[in-house]
Amino acid sequence: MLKLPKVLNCQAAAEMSCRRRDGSLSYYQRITLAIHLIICAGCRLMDKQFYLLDMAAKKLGSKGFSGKSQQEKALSLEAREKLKQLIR
Amino acid sequence: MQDGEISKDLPPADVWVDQYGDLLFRYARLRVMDRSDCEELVQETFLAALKGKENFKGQCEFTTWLVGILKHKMMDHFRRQQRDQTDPLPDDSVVEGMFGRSGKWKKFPRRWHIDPQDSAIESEVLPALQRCMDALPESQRQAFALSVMDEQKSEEVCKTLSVSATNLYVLLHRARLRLRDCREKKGIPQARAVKG
Repeated sequence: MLKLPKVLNCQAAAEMSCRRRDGSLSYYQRITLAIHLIICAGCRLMDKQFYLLDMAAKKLGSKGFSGKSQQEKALSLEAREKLKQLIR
Repeated sequence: MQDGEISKDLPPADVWVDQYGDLLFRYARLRVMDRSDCEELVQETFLAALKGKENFKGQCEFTTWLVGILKHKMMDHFRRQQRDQTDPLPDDSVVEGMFGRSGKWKKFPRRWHIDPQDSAIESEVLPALQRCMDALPESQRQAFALSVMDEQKSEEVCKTLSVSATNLYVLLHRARLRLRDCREKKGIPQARAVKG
């Protein structure tokens, strides 16, 4: 169980903002978070940042598939040769 | 390579490595940190595909079929790793250190000028995000990759990583805090500033 201090501090707000993204926040907790976000500009930015991070991560996940290869993201020559020996 | 991707025929095995090797490697590398682990996963995938190639009946693209095998191999890999881990949820002093005693930010978050619709996000923001993900502790990285990047249901992720739901939420929350910190410190380069 998420322990709530009487007045939500930024650390707890960060945890709750994440939990809301992961779909595990009760109605009461949502309201508590919303109130904190109204009064705390830093946490409003953090909340937006978490949203942007999640969006970017989803893009990264689907793009890794067809995206252009960089040198670092390709099989090493050794591995490639070894695989070719194994698979024919 | 493009032709191989659209075709629903079974390509001859001697072109597999050249046509699909890098793609599979990249897919694994986004989710598994260690290069040699990734190469091993690609190898396991090809071997399993070779063994079971009669099962490929063109029901989907060959790439999709291969990636399906790779996904299974990766889940096995995660499970094996979890078995070797003793402490499922060690403290994270880095995250603790982001807040003062009263739970206030030590360094106030800043505004990010990133527009998710901007095309620059692909070339600049995503590679930087991957670098920041690589800097995460392994368990946080895996939780974030499976839950957020791949949008897997939390019950599935809990099973794969053998963590409780509560611990999964803690891992995700720590991962996000570290990622936003990484971005602010090293700077996921700003996508073309939008406004403000």
